[in-house]
Amino acid sequence: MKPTVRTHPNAVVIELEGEADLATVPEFQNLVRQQMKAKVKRLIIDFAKVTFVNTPVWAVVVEYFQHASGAGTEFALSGIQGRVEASFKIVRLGDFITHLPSVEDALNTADLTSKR
Amino acid sequence: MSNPQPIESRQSVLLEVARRLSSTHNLVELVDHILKRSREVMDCEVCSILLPDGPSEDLLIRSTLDPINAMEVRVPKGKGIAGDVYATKKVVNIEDALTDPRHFRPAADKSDLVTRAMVTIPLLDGERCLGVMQAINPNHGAGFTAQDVEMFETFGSLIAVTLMRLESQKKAIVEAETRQQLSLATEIQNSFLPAPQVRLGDIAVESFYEPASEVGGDFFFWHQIDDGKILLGVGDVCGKGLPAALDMARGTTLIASTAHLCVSMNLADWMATLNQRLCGVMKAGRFIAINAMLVCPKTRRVHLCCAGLPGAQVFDGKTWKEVPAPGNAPLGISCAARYREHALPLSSGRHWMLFTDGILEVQNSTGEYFEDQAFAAALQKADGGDDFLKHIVEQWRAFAQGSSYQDDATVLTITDHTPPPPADLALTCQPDSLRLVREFIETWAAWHGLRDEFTGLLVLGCDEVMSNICKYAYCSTSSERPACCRIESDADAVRILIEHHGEGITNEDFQKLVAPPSTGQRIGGLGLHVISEIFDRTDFRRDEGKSVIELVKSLSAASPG
Repeated sequence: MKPTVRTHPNAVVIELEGEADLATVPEFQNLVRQQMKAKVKRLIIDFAKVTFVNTPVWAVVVEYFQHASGAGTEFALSGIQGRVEASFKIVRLGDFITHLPSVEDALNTADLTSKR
Repeated sequence: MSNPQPIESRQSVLLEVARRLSSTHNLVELVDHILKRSREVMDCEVCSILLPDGPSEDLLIRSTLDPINAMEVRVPKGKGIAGDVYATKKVVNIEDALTDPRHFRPAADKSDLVTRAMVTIPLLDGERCLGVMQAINPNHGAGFTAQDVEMFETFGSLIAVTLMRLESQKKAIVEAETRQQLSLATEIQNSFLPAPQVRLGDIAVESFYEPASEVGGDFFFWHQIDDGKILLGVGDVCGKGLPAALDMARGTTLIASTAHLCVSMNLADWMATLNQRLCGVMKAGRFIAINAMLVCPKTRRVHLCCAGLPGAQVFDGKTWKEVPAPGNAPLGISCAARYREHALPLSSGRHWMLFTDGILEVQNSTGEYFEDQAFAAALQKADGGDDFLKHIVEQWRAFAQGSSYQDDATVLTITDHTPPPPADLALTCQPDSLRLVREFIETWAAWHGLRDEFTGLLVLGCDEVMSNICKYAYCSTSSERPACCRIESDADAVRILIEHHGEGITNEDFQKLVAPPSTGQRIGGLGLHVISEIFDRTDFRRDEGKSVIELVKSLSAASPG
């Protein structure tokens, strides 16, 4: 997996690409924790180019969600499709975490917390 | 009254006629010559020959009296003295025909002839009567003498032989013409059939084709189309002979010209399209039964559409079974007919067989059908070897020995030579090596033609198990972290066995640890939840010092028809 951080005027976007698994969790977790420390106001994790995700990766997502809930940070996932969507449905994180079809949709949404 | 001709003179005429008989091939010319010469021999007013004409067996009269020939006079079967002689095959010699109760003058006979004395003889070929001859009104007396009758009979036997010769010559000419036509039709028909054997990538196609007559209605086809797909099948046109050959040519031509549609069209829709086009060109009452198969090597799927022929057979490695595909109407009957197909993984069998009903309907010398017992026995005996078609054909021929084929018989087989992927994987359980497990499952599932969604779940479920083994079963400092994965399937389910030498969990542990999704403080157990959601059955156990995880997932959602 290749994570890339892009800073937009109103948000930070972490773009993931390829297979997100146990081997890639440390790098991803490190990147996410950096965003926690940086106290970004709005974080979007984009899965549009991801082909596989397992629960260790979702655990990192949940970790950030817990942080964001306490810190008042807006947080959303975008681009969930295909096999990633199947995995996302099984773990039922869609019940709690805001998720939008594309990163553009997320960037254009005024209040991400209202889209859960 | 004049004196009859001397016997020597009569015999010389007989010899002259005999020479003429053997040299002519024209029946009308021959009959006219016979009548002319027989009138001379019999020294009478009129001579006639009456030959059966058409299926009614009315006797058509040819006479030395030209007006009668022009009138095309017929004697209905059984009527008159001629009809009586034709039926009884006995000579009748009478002096006063008009007073004979059998006398019959056809209405069409408008000649001035007044019949007095008449001798009528049968023209015999053994027991078969070819016709009769009559000599009427002798010039030398009131009636025909015994010598006259004897001479007339000698004459008649000579004519009978000649008629037989002409008849057999005519038959031979007709047969030769028919053979020539059939041979041409067979040549044309064969030009519409593809090569009997072909290798298309890893798929081998073989055929057996046995027409009941020289021109049959059976056919087979195979076409490799874009995207690597292979469209193949067998067909049976109703009827036989040239009409069936023409419909077969129409059918195979339309199949060839529409095969490319299967790149983007499913098999059932293609059959419906083919049916509509056939309905437009076939005459009412004619139809074609076709069983078609679409093999997709890339997706490793087989699609079957059966329309009017016996169900396809597949050899699953142990036995031959009929593929449970839905039946459809034969093609060419109704434009509105709808077609249904059945799809299943190519890995369902190594060999597949399509065949026409002529295979099942052949009878042996005691009247038993091949379908009754012998077909199943032949399949069983042929086993799953690569030369199974040869064995089946040998047994079919042996069964049918001594009896004629009532129907064409065609078999088309495919054999999948694609090497199967490994079913086992041994690895060192490290995060970096989990990718190997996912690839192992992907490759195995692709060969088995499983749907992508189903495969994705298998991959995810196994990855969750392996991730847990990596994280929890082996301590972080252990350097040797062996694990192995084995996958197999039957008709109902996929079964995955994962073994490792780390600290395993039990079924009770699994039930305690599996956690529903939440965003609470505790993050853990989510992987076990995924495993429990994906698989229909899980078993965590210790077995001979190893930890074993058995995962079973039903195939009911993997390969819908």
